[in-house]
Order: sequence, then structure tokens, then C-alpha cells
Amino acid sequence: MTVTTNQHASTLRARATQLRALAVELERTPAMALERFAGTDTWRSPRADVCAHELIADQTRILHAADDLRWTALRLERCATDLECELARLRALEAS
Amino acid sequence: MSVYGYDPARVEILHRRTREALVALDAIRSEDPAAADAMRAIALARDTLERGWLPFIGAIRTSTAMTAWRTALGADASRGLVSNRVIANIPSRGSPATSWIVTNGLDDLTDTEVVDRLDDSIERFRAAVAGGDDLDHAERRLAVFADEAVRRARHDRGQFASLMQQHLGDRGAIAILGAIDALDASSRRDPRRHGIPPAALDLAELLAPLGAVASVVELIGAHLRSSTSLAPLITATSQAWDPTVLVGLTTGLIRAIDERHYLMTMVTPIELAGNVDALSRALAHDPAASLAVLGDDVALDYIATNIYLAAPSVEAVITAGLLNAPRASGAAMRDGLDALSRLVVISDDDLLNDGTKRGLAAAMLTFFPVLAPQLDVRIPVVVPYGTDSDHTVEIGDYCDLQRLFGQILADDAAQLVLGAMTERYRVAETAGLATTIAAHRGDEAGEQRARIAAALADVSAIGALVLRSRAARTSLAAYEHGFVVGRAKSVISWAAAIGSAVVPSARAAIPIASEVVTTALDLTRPAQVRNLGADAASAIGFTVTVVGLPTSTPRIRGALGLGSVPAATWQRLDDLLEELADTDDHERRLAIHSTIVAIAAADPDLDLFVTQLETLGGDAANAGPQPPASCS
Repeated sequence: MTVTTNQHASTLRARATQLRALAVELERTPAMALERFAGTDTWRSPRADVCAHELIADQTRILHAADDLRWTALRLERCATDLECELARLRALEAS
Repeated sequence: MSVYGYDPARVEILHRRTREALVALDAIRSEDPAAADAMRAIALARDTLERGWLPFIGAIRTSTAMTAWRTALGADASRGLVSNRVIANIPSRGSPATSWIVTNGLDDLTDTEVVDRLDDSIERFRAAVAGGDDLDHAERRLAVFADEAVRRARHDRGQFASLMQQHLGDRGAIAILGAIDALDASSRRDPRRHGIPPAALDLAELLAPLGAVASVVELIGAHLRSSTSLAPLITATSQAWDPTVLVGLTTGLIRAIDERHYLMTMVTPIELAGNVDALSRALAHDPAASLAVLGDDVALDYIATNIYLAAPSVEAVITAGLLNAPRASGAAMRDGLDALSRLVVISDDDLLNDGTKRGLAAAMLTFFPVLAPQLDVRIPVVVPYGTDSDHTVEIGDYCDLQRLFGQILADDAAQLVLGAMTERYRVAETAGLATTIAAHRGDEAGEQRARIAAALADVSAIGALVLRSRAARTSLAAYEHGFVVGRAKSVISWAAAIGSAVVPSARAAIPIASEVVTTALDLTRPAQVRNLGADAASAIGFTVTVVGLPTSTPRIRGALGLGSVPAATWQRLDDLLEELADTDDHERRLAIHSTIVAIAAADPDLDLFVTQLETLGGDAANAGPQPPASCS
């Protein structure tokens, strides 16, 4: 039981780390800076405007997703902490 | 319309970055269920780039716009047509503005797609006019696609027109005509608007190449008989219309008016005359087409006499058809003389439009050389034409010509033009005299003087016709002022332009004569001509010719019997003639002329020379048989 709980907490922390890394990867992906190459000094037309608007929508969606990933990572870490605390409490009870 | 465009170099960079972004998005992986939303966001972004951005970028990179628009832009710019494509308006951050390919954002559409969207826009606009969609939006949409279609048609006229005909056919022509009417009505209802809506101009220009199909021409002709919206657009887009089509439309419209077809329409004869007026202005760009219309008897009658046609429009088409066109060939000269003979008949029954009088006066620059030698009060005036003069056209008898010239002289502006053309004719007739006299140096002085007199006799015959044609109360002040104007530099340039406009390479309108001569006099209207004295201006022209000949050509002085005139006298005359040619001050010209006459009178040989030529050349035409009194 103790071993399983401990492993579970570790798994949660590992997932949190990966999700944070994924959030960073999302924020740093080249698509998030593509608008710098697609301004009015590159092209100008109604269709170019549509492209720009769609990119902004996608970037916003990705930024929200990155935030969600970090929030999820935080929740996973809290779960891990809770599990570890519960494990510590059980160990204390067994020792007494 | 906004300015649209793209920088090819930056688009290349954008293409590379977009592909890199796609590869990077593809590389993002996560099996964690908590990352499902994030992976969906990534997939959506990937979809945007793959399905939206890359095809658009690819269309720009592979379309002809990358090269063709740049070429077209240069061509447009050289013709001053880059109205909504001003490169300087494009904000540039670090990129030189000239590297931009300017476009309206429709480059990736194929020609077929543009035609289809234009068709759709026309239908939507007509539906909006009928109370459907938002009218402003529908008109803007129509303007965008009409503008794009015109741009493509200009650069690739034949193929695009053919495509339009295939896809739109007669139904398309009907739709365009309906849209033009609707735009016209919409424009008239809105007091904020001024002038012709640009979309209407574009549609008219698109209609022009469709006129290659007979059924479409019939549709356009029917439209011109029942609506006033199209004719001004044809004038404004005359360069796009086939002259043959314009001839057919004009004669068809005039014949329809003549047959009272307007009784079945909502338009009035005056409004239809407005349509003819507009078509005449379009025709005036093409001398051959103008002559073709004037070759139609019904059309000539209508144009020459209709009081509802604006004089400048009539003058333009008469000038183009009878002054310019007959110089092109013997056949054209025959057609021009036929039209002249028809006008002689018309002038006997009807009053001519003032524009007809002015145009005819200008056309005399072409007709005088063939008409003057045949003027004889005793026999009909039969004019030979062609390279060997083996064909003839009977213009009428002398009395008929008097009536025609009487009508011309009734208009001051026409008088001015006629005077200027007479002076140009005199200059042309005497231009080769010095060479002829020098070539016959051994002949008697009397024979040599007779040659000058003979050349002047034809000019005098014209002068006699004019004098006999004047009504009792008609002043010839404007005609005589025309002599002065005939030597003005602007009129000489104009006459030279006429000579070079036999078959104009570019269909550019030639300034009408009455405007040129009036401007040469620095007057706003002929009625303001100052009275210089009835004979003074005419006398100046005569003296310049007669005295100027031996003055400017010393080698013929001996042949003319003027070898003993002192060199100092010739030098003085040379200075005065030079000053006379350079000054536009009428009072000064009169003073110089008086001095020349006085110098000539003071030398016995010169005095005899001038007096003889006045008698032989100047008055010869008046000294012979006189026309019947019933003529005048």
C-alpha cells in the first residue's frame, strides 16, 4: 500500500512536470510568433486579414491550453502532496 | 478601394516560417489525457496553417500576379491608370515600397472564377435594387469584381472577352445593361453622388468586347433606343469599343429615331438626340468610323441638321469624317466628296447645325485643293479624285455651293475657321512656287508672274465664292480675321497635325478647329473679334505671299523682272516680313503691312509686280462671268 501510494504520487509529479514542459513547448512553438512575418509589410488583402485573425484565434487557444496545462500540473502536484501527506500520516499512526 | 498588395521577398520568408511552424506543431506530442485540449488547440492551429495559410501563400507564389501584375502595373502607371494602386500609400516597415506587388487581393482567383463572381455580383446588385439585400454592400461588391474584370480584360482583352462571352453570353449582356440602368438610377437618386459611378464605367468597358457578337450588338442597340444611361458610358469608354460597332450603333439609333420607334419607349426624341450626341463624341476619335456614319444618308441628314445635338459634338464628328478621313485613300476621298455633295443638297432645304458649319469650314482644308480648280459659275462643279483623277463626283452647281457657304458664313465661328483654312490653302498653293520659277529661269518675267497669278487664282476663286455666298447683311469680319489666325503658330501646328492624322495610330481626339482658331485669337468667343477693317487682313495674306516670294528667294528676283530692286529694299522687306510672322499683335501687323505696301509702291518695278498680280491673281475670279442673280 505504501509503495503504491508513493509511486502514484511520483507519477503525478512526473505528469505535472511533463505538462509544464508541454505548456512551455506550446508557448515557444514557432506558430506563436508567426504573426511577426505576416504583418502589413508582408501582405495586405482581405484574405490576409482573415489569415491573421485565424492565427490570433489559434494562438489565443494555445495560450489558454498552456495555462490549463499549468493549472492541471499544479492540481496534480497538490494531489501528489496530499497523497504524500496521507502516507506520512498513516506511517505515523503505524509507528504509534 | 483600399490598397492591397504583397512583398514577394517577405512572402517567401513567410512561406518558410509557416512550413517550419507546421513541422514544429507536428512535433508536439503528448499522451497525457490532461493535454487533450492542448492537442486539439495544436491541431486547430495546424489546420489553420495547412488549409488556410499555405494555399494562400502558394497561390501568391505561383500565380502570374508575381510577374504579370508588376508588368501591368508599369503599363498602367505609364498611362496614368494606377488610380487605386498607389504604391506610395503602402506603409513600409523596413521594406522598400517599390518591392511590393500591388494587387486587389483577388489574384488567386482564376479568370473563370472572376467572371462567375462578377455574374453573381450583378445579380445580387439587381436583387438589392429591387429591394432585397443591402444596396450599398451589393454595389461595393459589384464594383470590386467589375474593377477586377476590367483589369484582366485590359491586359488580355481577347481571351478574357471570349471567356466572358462563353460564360455570360447574351444573358450576361442583358444583365450588364440592367445593372448599368440600375446604377444610373441609383446615382440619380442619391444627391451626394457626382458623376458616373465607377462600376457603371467598368461594366460599359466590359460590354464593349462583347459587342463582337451580333446578338449582343442588337441588345445594345435596343438599349440605346430605350434608355439614356449607356450612351455617356460609351463616350467615356470609347477606346474600348470597336469603331465598326460604334458605326452600327449610331446609324441604327438614328434610323430608329427617324422611323419614330421612340413612340414605343419611355424616352423622348430630345433624350435620344442626347444618345446620338454621346455616340458622336465617341466616334470623333476615329476618322474612318466618322466618315462611315456620315456616309449613311439618314445619319448625315440627322447629324447635320438636328438642333438638339451639341455643336461641338457635331463639329467633332464632321471634322473627323470630312477633314481627316478623306486624306487616307481615294475611296475615302470619294466618300468624303459624296457626303459633301449630300450636304450641299441638305443645305438647300434645312438649316445646318452650327457644328456642321464649323466642321465643314475646317474640312475645306481637304476639299479646297480639289474644289477650287473646278469652280465655274457656268457649269456644275464636278470634282475628280483618285491618283489619276479618273473618277469624279458631282458636288452641285455653283449656286448650290453658294447656299452651302452662305450657311457656313452665317456662323461667326465657322467664318473664322473658313478664313483660317483659306489662308492655310493659300500658303499651301504658293509653297512650291519659288522652286518652279527657279526651274524656268529662262522664261520671260511675264510668264513667271503668270505662274504666280495662276497659283493665286484658285485661292481667289475660293475668295470669290465666299464673297458671293454672303447674305446681304452678313459681315465677313470673322472670315477676314481668320486670315490672320491662319498664320498663327497654333493653327499651323494644328493643320500639320491634321496632315499626320490620316490614319491615327492612337485614337486620340484631334482638337476641333473652332476651338483652335478662337484660342489663337485669344478670344473666348468669336463675337468678341475686333474689327480690323474689311480688307486689311486679306490684304496682309496677299502681300505676304506676293512680296514674300522674291524677298525670301533671291535667286528668282531676276526671273520675275525684279533684278534692279536695291538690296537694301529687300533687306528692309525681309526684316518687316520676319517681324510680321513673329507678332500676334493685330495693330502692329497692320502697321507693318502698311509699311511693306509703301516700300513696294516706292520702287517702280516692285509696284508694277504687285499691281499685276493683284489684277491677275487677286481679282481674276471676280472678273469673269457672274452667277445668276437668283443664286443669292
